[in-house]
Amino acid sequence: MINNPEIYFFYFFATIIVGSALFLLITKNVVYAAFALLSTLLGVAGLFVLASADFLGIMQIVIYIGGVLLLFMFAIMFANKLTGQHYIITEHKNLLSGIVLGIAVFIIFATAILNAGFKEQLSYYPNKSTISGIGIELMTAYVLPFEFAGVFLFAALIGASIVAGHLIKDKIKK
Amino acid sequence: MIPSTHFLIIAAFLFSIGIIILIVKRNAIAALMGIELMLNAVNINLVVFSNLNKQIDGQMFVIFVIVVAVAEAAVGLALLLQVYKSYKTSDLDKITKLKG
Repeated sequence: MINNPEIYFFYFFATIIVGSALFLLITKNVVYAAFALLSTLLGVAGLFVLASADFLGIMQIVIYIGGVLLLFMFAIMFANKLTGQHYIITEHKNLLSGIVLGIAVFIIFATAILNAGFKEQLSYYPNKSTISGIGIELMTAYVLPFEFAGVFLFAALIGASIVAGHLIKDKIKK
Repeated sequence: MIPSTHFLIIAAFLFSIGIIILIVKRNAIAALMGIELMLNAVNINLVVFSNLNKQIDGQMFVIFVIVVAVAEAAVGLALLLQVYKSYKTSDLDKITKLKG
């Protein structure tokens, strides 16, 4: 009998995140990068579930993988059409400074985390859902940010469709 | 029971990978992917501390961060398509019309 089964799931998802994030960094093809981003976000959703934020895990999958990645794919597709290339290859520049800065940031964060002395362990409640708590909070304490987020998203999506819509209209006219 | 430092180290790793992608990759779509990774790293931290605090406020914050990330991706990619149309390139270093 395994004493502590969650930690194995944690290492599983952590491996997915680390591997696909490194692949996302290394690859030069943007389509491959989009799929690496997909598996990274799936791993993050798994971590959310392990931190007993089940609703956020589902939201991560629905919004990021269903929405944002589809958006990325459409953008890559349209960009392919506009430039006439089959693949979009990114160049890698500033390689030394980027990697040095990234490693420095990671070392700073890691030493800060390890020296902070967090002894707490995350509690995992398999039988408890956060959905009702989130719903109550959204409708009471967070009702103004919630409504504001709705208006903000509405305005942003209309703006995005107008900005990109001209492009598609011009394409159809030609 | 998972130690919280494990989660925080993974989040720090994702954040630094996001920074490297933002600096190294010269394609604008790939740079947006780096920004998404950094936002996700922050979300992991918020969820972890919400769990340690036994309060749900951190998770509410994550919801609003996700909303802003979606709006940013939608507007950013729409602008990017216009940039593609007028410059015929995606290289961030070659978009220099406003440079003095």
